[in-house]
Amino acid sequence: MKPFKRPSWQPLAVGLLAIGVLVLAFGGYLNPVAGALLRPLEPVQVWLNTRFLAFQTLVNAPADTANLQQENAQLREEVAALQTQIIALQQQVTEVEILSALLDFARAQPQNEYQAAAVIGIDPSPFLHYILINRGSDDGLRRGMPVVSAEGLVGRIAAVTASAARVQLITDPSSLVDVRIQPAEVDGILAGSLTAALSVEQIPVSVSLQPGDLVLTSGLGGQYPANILVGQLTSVRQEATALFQQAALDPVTDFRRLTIVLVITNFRPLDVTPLIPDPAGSP
Amino acid sequence: MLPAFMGFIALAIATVLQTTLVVRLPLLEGIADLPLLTLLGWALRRRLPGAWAWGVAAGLLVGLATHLPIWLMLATYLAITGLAISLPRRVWDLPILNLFLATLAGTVLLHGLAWVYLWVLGSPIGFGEAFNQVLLPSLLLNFLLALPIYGLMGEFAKLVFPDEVANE
Repeated sequence: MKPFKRPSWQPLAVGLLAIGVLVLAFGGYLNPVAGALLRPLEPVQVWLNTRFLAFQTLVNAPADTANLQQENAQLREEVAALQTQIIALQQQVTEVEILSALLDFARAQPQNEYQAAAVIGIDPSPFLHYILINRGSDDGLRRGMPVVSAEGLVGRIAAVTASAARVQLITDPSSLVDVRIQPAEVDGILAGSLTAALSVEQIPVSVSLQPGDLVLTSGLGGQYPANILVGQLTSVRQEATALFQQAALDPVTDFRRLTIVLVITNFRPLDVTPLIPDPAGSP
Repeated sequence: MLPAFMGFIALAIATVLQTTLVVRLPLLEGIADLPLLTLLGWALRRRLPGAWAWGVAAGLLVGLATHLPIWLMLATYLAITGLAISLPRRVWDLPILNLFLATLAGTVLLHGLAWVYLWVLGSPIGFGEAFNQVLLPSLLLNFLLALPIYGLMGEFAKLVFPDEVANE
């Protein structure tokens, strides 16, 4: 027979002790004791905590770098897109300025009808000074029509296709334009050259010219309308035995920066060839 | 048919670049000639087909872009093509030497014939002016660009005709 075992008081004693400790702890009576016990552990805890945080940063760093790189790439794309937008807007501003200047020019000459055209190319031959524009016979352009910029005379149409035209600039070596010099009120002939330098020729030696005198189209010959500004005289050359004097001219149009031009569409050049006497003397 | 088509595409790009970009970068009055150099980059490679088609395409495209008559451009570019084809066969088989020789001859032919045509029509451009202001600077620019464009055309040919380029 198994002997009767008396119940132990040990668990009850431990329970009561624990309750007592808890009551003392909640009452704050154990704080000095806890402080004395935990103080040596604090540095250990700090050291461990620091090392753990460092380790956590190390483990998570690659993901953060990838995120940052992605964000960086997105921001760079945005910057590039905005820069492109700025360039496009700047171009639009320039275009608006040019169109506004052309509009002012057109308003100042209300007797003319204009067709605006963009310059789309330059003649590949270095011997010729021609430009290509993006308007042609479909837009009412015809051979011989004068072309101007906001500043002044550019040239005239030399050839036309349905959607484009070729313009002979006044700087072309074969170009000759009848001009009038102000204020002397004397006529001359404007000639181009290979180097795009312009000169006014066939000016009588009796006329007094000054650098700065204005040069306008005279309308003689019927190739250009009268009174379109061409440029200013920069120097005058006169030889003692020559019948005529010559003057260098600075054009008002910057031919290297031509982007938009106006074609005067209601001007029809005159064909004066039949009126020129035949040197052979035939009737 | 393929070489002619490829030639037309390549030379159309060269002509557009010529009339918009290259003409704005002159040295004195001379300018480099991209269609000429593109044509030479193809025609000087003996095993590549369609050199004559490239010559016709160059003549037509440049003839349409310039105020000089189209027949003059066609005749000039065909003469340059004939020269480029015959150089490796009849003179030397040294690509670099042929390239520079063809560039020299092509530039002189192109500007020389254009000057003669304009002179006959009464243009006031003198020979000395044309030689000093146009021909010599153009020649220098063409020499500078000849090698890079020849290399570029080699890569282009390798894409279209890899076997022919490998056998060069």
